Amino acid sequence: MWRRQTTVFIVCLGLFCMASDTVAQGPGFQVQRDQVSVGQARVLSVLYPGLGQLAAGNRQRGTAMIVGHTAFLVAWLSSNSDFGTHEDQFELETERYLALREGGNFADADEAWRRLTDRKDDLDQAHTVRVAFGALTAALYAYNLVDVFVLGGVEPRQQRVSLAPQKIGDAPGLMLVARWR
Amino acid sequence: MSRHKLKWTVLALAGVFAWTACSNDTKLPANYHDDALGQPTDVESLLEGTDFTVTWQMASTTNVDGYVVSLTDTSGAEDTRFVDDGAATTYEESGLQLSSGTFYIIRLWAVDDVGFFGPTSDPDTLVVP
Repeated sequence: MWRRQTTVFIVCLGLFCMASDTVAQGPGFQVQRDQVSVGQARVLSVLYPGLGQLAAGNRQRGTAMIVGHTAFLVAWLSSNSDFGTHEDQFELETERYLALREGGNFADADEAWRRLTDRKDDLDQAHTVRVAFGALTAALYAYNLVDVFVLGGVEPRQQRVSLAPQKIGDAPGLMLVARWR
Repeated sequence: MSRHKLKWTVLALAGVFAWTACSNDTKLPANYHDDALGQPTDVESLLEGTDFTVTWQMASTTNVDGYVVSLTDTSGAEDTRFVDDGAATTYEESGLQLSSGTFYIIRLWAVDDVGFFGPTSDPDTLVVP
């Protein structure tokens, strides 16, 4: 048990060291720059839209994609479940209608048919909603891939104004950098 | 291909993928009841003593295997007779004992070979003197 925990700890430490680019600035003060490579960012974005952009520093785009994709995904899963419920109800009404074929009467069959057509309308509507959210989810994921692999969404981006830790003598300090063209 | 075109192509493909991935294969079953059996019309009932007669018309006797004649009294109690002839337009019964001083609602409907009852005719009122 102890050996397993040690192994996990060492592996995590190794991954942390690989992922972070730590620059020693002297005793008692370190400037740490956590950056992922373009390849790592692409893998992150393939796993979940927006993660790579966020890791690469494109906060607004990354956040928008994560929030948007999560919302579409939840809506799609919810509408898919809703469609399944309507499908079960439709099958139940179909069985009821067909059961009236032998020994039933016109009035009951007509009422069952009316309910069945109502269920069919509900089912078609649920299908439309499901497809719409499925398309939006797929479209956002596809746009995420285009953004990552074509539009350079995970390329390191220089911000106009940035705040970075900076050693001033032996004391820690901050460096404000402003860029303009 | 320009980036703009590529972007829209990928988005369109995503839409097509979503449309085909989420199929809706459910279909309504065949409507068996609407045109299965016709509705009897011009229902007229007559009581002479204890001789009871009902006549009706059918525009089409397709699928008709017989008829059910229904007599409902004022209390709601229903009594039925079966006419085992799809081509019949008359039902006669002798010796029918009905309560005097009341009236009955006479209706009938067609029946097919699997026991499905067609639409009920408009009612006719039979007054028992």
